[in-house]
Amino acid sequence: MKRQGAVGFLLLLLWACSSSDSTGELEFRNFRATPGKEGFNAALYGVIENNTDFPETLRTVTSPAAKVTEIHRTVHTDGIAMMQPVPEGVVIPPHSTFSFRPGDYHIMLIQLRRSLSVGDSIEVAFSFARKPSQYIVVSVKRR
Amino acid sequence: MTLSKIVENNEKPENRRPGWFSEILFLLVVSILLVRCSSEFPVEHDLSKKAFRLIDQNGRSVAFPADFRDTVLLVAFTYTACPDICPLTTDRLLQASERIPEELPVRFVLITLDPQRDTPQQLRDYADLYQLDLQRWRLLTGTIATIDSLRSAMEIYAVRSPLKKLPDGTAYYFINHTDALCLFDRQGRERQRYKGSEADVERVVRDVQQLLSQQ
Repeated sequence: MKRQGAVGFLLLLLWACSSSDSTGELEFRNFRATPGKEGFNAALYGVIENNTDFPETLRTVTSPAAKVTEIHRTVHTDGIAMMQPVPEGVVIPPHSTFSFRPGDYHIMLIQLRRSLSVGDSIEVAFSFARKPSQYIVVSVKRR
Repeated sequence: MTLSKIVENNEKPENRRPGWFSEILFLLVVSILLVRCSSEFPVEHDLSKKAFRLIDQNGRSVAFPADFRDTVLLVAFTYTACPDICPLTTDRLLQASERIPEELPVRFVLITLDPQRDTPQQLRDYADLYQLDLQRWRLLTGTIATIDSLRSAMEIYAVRSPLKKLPDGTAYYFINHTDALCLFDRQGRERQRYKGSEADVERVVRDVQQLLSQQ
């Protein structure tokens, strides 16, 4: 019971942190995770909007839902789809957006710790070069 | 005398075309049309005489494509650990399956590019995840040698990325692969290939219907 309470509090805290992005300096739009069985991989897609006057670099993304989380990019060459890790992160220009979308840049949830079904939620942390980390809750969606 | 009579009377017998001329002309036009129609789906890869020994999601042996004779197939090469491209392809195929009436002789096949990890159980889990109707869908794996042989016959590229390790020491990898969705006719010949992750579902459905009507 205590553990459930602690988890609930943590979720509330995460939600509060994500809501603290109300300054609007960094906005997270339409973030969603794909479904997956425990042990499978899944992907995160969405848009980050940088409303500041400076470029911002997204360095890493983490989530307790997966053993490892990596930023990747899918590149198509001669009909072959190749996934390239992007360990350096991605730069979001000032007053601009950066999209993570299917078949392009995406965030990989490698080896899910639990099954993710449509309607579930997971917590995700985004670490930036300049701004403090941002925490958001992401829903699992089919498409 | 009516005009038609005048024309009839003035018509020289040597100018009249014999009856067989129109028949030959008709056959010629039909032949051209048939060639034109069939060339819309040229044979990309002929597997009609092949029987690759694979295993389905229930562990049953399957001879591909021999066991699917008289069925039009939509075949995608995917793997269950693929997080970005393969789910898109599966989703396109799922959308196509929802638009193709169940009573038509069409089946949907996923063949793994990762036979080492994709066991029948793993394929069942994948089918469950996407709620695939296993009356119409088959998920196939096999030995590495057989999958390689099938890939080679169909010119499907697949190469593992370098091994990486999880914090617990478990190795993991991804597979760079041809992004393909293939349309097979009832004889086991590949007749059309699409970019799987971006396949135009309406076009795929139209092609399936056209191929069914031709055969």
